[in-house]
Amino acid sequence: MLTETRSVLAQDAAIPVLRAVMFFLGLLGSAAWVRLHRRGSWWLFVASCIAGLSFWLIQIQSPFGLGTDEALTRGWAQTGVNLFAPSDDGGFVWGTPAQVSLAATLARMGCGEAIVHAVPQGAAIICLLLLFAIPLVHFRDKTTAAFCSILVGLGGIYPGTTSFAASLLHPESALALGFLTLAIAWATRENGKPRGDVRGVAFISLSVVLALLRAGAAGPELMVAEVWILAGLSLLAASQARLWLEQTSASPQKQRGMEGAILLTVLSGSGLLWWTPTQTVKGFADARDPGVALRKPMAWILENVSPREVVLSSRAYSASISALAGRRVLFPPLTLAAPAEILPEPFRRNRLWETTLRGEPSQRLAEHFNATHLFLGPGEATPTPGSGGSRAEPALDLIPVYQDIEDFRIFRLTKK
Amino acid sequence: MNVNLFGFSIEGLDVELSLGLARLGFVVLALAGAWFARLQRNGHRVGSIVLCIGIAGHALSWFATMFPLPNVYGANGSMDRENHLGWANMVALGFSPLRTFQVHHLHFEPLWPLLTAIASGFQIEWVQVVFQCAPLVIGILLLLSIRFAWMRGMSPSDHVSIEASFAALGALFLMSTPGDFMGAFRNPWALTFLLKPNHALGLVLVPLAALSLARAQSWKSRVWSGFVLQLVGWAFVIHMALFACSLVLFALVSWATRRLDRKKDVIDVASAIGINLLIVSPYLVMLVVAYPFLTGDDAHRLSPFSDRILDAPFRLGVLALLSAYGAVRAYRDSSRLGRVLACQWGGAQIAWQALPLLGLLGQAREQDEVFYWCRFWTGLFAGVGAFSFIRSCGEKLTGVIRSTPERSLGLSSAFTLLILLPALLPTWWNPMTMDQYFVAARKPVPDWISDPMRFVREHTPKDAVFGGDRIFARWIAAYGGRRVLLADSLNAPNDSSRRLEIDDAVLTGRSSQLMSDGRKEFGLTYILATSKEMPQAPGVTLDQLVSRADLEAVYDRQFEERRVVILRIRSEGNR
Repeated sequence: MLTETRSVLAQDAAIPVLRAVMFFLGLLGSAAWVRLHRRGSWWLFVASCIAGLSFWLIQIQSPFGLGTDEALTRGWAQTGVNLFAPSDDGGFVWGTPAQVSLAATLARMGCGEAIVHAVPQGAAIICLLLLFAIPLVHFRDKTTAAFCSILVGLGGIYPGTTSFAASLLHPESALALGFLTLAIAWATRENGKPRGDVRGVAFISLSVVLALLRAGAAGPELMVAEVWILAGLSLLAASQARLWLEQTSASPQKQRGMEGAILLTVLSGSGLLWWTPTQTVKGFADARDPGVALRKPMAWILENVSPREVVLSSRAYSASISALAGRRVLFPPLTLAAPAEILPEPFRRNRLWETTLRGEPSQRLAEHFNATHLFLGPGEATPTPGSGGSRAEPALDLIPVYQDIEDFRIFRLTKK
Repeated sequence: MNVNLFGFSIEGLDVELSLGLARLGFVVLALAGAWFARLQRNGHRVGSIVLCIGIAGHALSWFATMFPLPNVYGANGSMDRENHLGWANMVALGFSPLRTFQVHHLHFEPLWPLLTAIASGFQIEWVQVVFQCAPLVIGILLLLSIRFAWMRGMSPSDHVSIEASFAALGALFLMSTPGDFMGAFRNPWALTFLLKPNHALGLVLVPLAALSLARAQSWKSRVWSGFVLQLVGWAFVIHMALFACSLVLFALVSWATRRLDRKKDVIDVASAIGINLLIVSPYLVMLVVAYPFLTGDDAHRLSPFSDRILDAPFRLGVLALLSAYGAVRAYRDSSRLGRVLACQWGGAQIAWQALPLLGLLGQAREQDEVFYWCRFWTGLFAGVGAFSFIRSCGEKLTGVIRSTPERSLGLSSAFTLLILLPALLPTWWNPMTMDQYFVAARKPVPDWISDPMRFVREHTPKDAVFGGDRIFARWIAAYGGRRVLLADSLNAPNDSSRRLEIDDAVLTGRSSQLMSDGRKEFGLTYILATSKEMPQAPGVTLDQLVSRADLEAVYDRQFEERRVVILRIRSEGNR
C-alpha cells in the first residue's frame, strides 16, 4: 500500500493536485476564520500544511542524505553501527571515535530502525508543529494567538520561505533552534498590553538580521536560523497588523474578512505550497530510491556477519555497509575524504587492502583489524591469488559466500 | 586566459564569494540609506535616497551576475538570446533592421537590433559587450521612467517622490521571490532584464505611455499619447497589446463609476489606441505576415486545472495583498494617472487569469510574457502599497514611527525599506543556484562552435549566406556574424518551400539550376555541415560533400565531439 502511494505521489502530475488540495483547505480555513470558527480555521490550515509536508516526506525511502551529504552520511553510518551493535562504543570506521548525531544517539538508546531512519522527516514535522505552537504559547489572547499561529506556521510574511530543507539536512540544529524559539516565546509571554516601541525595535532588528542572513547564504537551502528569525518577525508583524485592523476596520466583520484574506494570501505565497524538494534539496531525489539492489547483500551481511567483525570494502560502499548492515569498515566513505581526518594505522590498513585485492589477505593484519569479510560491488574485479607481489607472510583464502544478479559479491576470509 | 567580456581576467574567481559580497554590499547600502532617510525632513530627498538604493541594487546584482561570465549572458543555454545576438550582428554589419538573419526574412521586432547596433557603433566586435551592458542600462531607465511618470502624473503631495521611488523599487525588485526559479517561468527579474532587455525596454516605455494618456487634453496631446503607445509596440508588441487591453478596462471602469470623466476617458483611450494602431499598422501587417499567431495549437493548450493561476500574483504572498492595497490607493488618488496605472494592475491580473480559458482554445500564447507583465505591476504596487501601509499605520503599527510630523516621512520610508529589505531581489539573488543561464554561460562555448565561427568571421565576406545545418544556423549568426538560408530557431519564412527546395539541391547536388537560383535569389555561397546527421538530408555525409566538384572545402576539422566542415559553393564558371 505504502509503495503504491509513493509511486503515485512521485509523479509530476500529483504536484498540482497537492497544491489544489492545500489551497482548497486554506480557502475553507479562511472562510471559517471569517465566520468566527477560529479553532476550525486553525485546524484546516494545519491540515493544509501537514498534507503539503507529508506529501514529500512520505516519498523518502532510504536514510535521507546517505551518500549525498557528508555530515548526514557520517551520521547514518554511525547510526547503523549503533543500531546493530549497541554495546560497542567505537566509530563506524574501525579504530575511530564514535560520531555524534541525534539518530545515532537514539539508536544507542535502543530505538528501532524505523524510528531512527525517520529522524529527518520527524524533525521536519516537529519544526512545522513548533512554528504553529510558538504564537500559541506567546499570546494570551486566543484569537491573536490563532491568527499569528496560522501566519507563522504557513511560513511567515516573506513569500517563498520554507524551513524544511534545513530541517531535513540539519535536524539537530533545526530542532534545537526551534525549541529555543519556543522557550523565548514562552519567556516573553504577553503580560498585559504590548509595548509598541519595544516590538518595533525588535521587528526592525530581526528584519535586519534576516536580510543579512539571506545575503550571506542565499539559496534554496535556507539557513537553519533563518526560519526561526522569520517566525519571530512574522509573529511581531501579525500581532501588530491585527491590532491595526482592529483599530481601523469599520466593523468586526470587515476585520475578520481582511484577516481571512491575509491568511489566504500568506498560504498562496507559502514556501511549502510551492516547495519542490526534488529540484532544490540536495539528496532528496536519491532518498526516493529504495536501493533494492544494495539492500539484498546488506541483509545478508546483517544476518551472517557478527557485529564485532569488520567488513573490507572500497570507499564507495563503506557508508552503506555501516548504515544499512551495521558493520564496521576499514576506510571512511568516498564522500568523506576530509583531509583533517586522521585514521590510526593508515599503512597497515592500506597493506591489508592491497593484499586482499591481490587475493592473499595478510592473516596477521586481518586478525589485527578483525576483518572477516570482503565486499565487492559491480565492476570491481574479483581478486585472484598470485596475481602480483611476493608472499612474505601467511595469507588467508577468499571464499565466495554471496553473489547476486547485480554482481554484488561477498567473500569470507578464512585460514588455508 | 579566461577573461570576461569586459576584458578582466576571471581565472580563479571565487564566484560564490563575489556573489555573497554583492548581496551583503546591497544590504549595507540599504541600511545606510534607511539611516539617512530617517534623518531627512524633505520628501523629495527621501525619494532620491530610495531611488539611489534601487539603482545601486540593480547595478550590484547585474555586476555580480555578468562579471564572472566569459560569454554573453544566455550563451550555451538560450536560443532566444542567441537569435537576438544574431539579429543585432546583422544590423551592426549594415543589413536592414527589418530583416532577420534568415536572408530576406521579415522581422517584427526591429527596434532592439537597431539600438544595439547603434550602441556598438556598427562594430560587430562590440555587440556582445553592448548585450552584457544593456540589462544595467535598461534597469536604471526603468527606475527613472517609473519615478518620472509617477512624480509628474500623480497628485502633488509631500510624499509623491517617495511613493514614486518605492513604485520603481517594487517594479524591479519585488517582481520575484526566492523560489521562483523552481517555477515554470523561473525568475522574472533575470528573465526580463538579463535575458530579454529588449522586452524590458517595453516596460521602460509603458509608464511614459500611461503618463501621456493621463495628460491628454487636446487632440494634439491625444496624438502624442498614441505616438508614445506605438513606441511600446515597436519595442515589444505584447506589452503594447497588454497595455491597450488594460486601457480598455480603464475606459470601462471609468464609464461605470465616473459620470463626470467617462466621456473624456473613453475618447482619450479610443484615440490613443486608434492612433497607435494607425501608426503601427505596417508593423502589425509584418507581424501577421511573419508570425502565424491566430491559429490555435496543442502547444498552447493549458489545463483549466493548472496551478498556474496562483503562480503570478499569489506566489508573492502578503506582497500581493499590499499590491492590491497600493492599486486601490492609487485609483482613489485624485489624479488620472493613478486610475490609469491601477487599471493596468487590474488588467494584468485579468490577463493572467484569462490564460486557462484561452488555453482551452489552444491560444494560451506567450504565457511567460503575461506572467512577467503581471509580476511587474504586482511588484510596482507592492512597493507603493508597503509605503502607503506603513505611512497610514503610523504610530498604530509601531512606536518607532513616533516622532515629530516633519520627520514622519523619513521614518516611514526607512521603516518600509527595512521591512522590504529581506524580500528585495539583490538581498537574496544567487544565480549559481537560481539561474540556469548564468551556469550555462560560465562554461566556454564548445570548441566545435567557437573555432569554425572564428574562421567564418575572419575568412568569409560579410554578405556570405550559409546553408546546410539548420541547428547550427543560429550560431553562424550569433558567433560568426553571417546570414543563413534557414534556421530552426526562427519562424519559417513565407517562402520557406522555395528555400527548402534550394537547400535540398545544394546538399544533394541534384540540380545545378536550383543551386544557381540559390546564389541569385538568396546569395547562398557557403554550406556548413557537421558529422551529426541533418534531419533534412539524412543520407548526406560529410565525405560525400567534401568530394563533390561543385563544392570546395575551406574548413574541415575534427573535434572531440563532432567534425565540422565549411564548404564554398563554386560558381558555375569555376567548376
